[in-house]
Amino acid sequence: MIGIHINLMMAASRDPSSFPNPSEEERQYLSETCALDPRRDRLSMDPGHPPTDTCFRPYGFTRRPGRWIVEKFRAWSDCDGDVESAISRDHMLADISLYWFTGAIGSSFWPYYAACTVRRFCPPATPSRCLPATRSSRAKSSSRRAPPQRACSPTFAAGASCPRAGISQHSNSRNCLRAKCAPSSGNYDDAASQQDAAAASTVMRSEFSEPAQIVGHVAEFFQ
Amino acid sequence: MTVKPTPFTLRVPDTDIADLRDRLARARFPDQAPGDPWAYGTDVAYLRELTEYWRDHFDWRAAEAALNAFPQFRVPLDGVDLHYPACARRRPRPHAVAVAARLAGSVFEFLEFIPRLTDPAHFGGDARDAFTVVAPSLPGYGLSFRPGQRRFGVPEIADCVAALMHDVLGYDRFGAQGGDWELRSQVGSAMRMRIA
Repeated sequence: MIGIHINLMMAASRDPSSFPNPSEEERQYLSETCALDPRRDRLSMDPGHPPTDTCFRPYGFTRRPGRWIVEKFRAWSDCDGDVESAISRDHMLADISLYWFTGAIGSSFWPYYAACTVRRFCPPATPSRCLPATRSSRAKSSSRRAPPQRACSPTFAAGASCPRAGISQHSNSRNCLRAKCAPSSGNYDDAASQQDAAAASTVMRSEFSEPAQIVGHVAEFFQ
Repeated sequence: MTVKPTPFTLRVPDTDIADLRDRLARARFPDQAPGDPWAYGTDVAYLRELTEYWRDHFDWRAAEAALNAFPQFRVPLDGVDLHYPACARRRPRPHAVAVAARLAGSVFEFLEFIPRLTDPAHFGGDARDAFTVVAPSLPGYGLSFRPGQRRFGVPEIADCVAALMHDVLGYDRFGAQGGDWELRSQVGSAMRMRIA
């Protein structure tokens, strides 16, 4: 491994009881993460909506052009409230214009929608899932592990109209694994694999499309 | 590998730019709710100002030219025409790194720092630290999107990036940077499946 670049790390617990005797650094972490406004961090909210609906917002150009992306730039940058101190006006507009010209905004929501509906936005049980197993830990494994089930996000062919129909495929996640993507043995920790399977089993409970939320979504659209 | 990348230059039609300006000229805005101007979304006064600038002063062609200053390619992969600027350094043999934008971002984020990675000596760094940089527009994003194409979840995006780096460009080893959760590790998983 050469190195790891890390940003947007919010994997650790926000629960103060997780840090019974917090160090100064942990105290600061808790105060900052607990102050995060989930409505502001719309990464895990907006894109969880059905993406075709969500993309109407930035597309409401005659009403609020590019507003959503501008708000994201401001909320996600260290700009102390002045977005242009972090990102130039021309840069923002180049980015927003590209979304407009390509029409890709709805498609760009898809991975977030997929993650919210198939795999909950939660950290893995152990960090080892994110890193290759060391040689020593592989050596300790006395037998070859069974190929793990990889929790898949929904991918739909062009023209598929019903996300739920796609999601139902995940009752058998192998259906959505392409052959070249089939995992070879030993690439995942067993614990992480089990968690993936558990996450996949919560598919239908984790959707954002409860009636009250749909009403709220529509109300916001027409505000 | 049978797929072959083809050089790509971005050129948005004049009619699309005129259409955008026309829409911006006719933009209607909501009122500003009482309280902190940014409390409920983008400050409407700021948005008005930005919209006027967008309509009257923003130079899309300049932004386009900045992107086109980089060698760009497209390659048919996983049912999309994957777009990627690629800047190779041949001597000394550099590590390759794939960088990818996130939601609300785009390839424009990388135009300033790609030269710093590919040519650090020019910026006061050490030439031996040079990287080869590949900056794919993720499938479903920006210039890797065509209306009606298939949709991608994060594992499939990661697999597509690994396919580009390994199957198309021939890197057995590379760094991955992603501005969002999971993509880095999932690219790693996709690569391990390839070279295991």
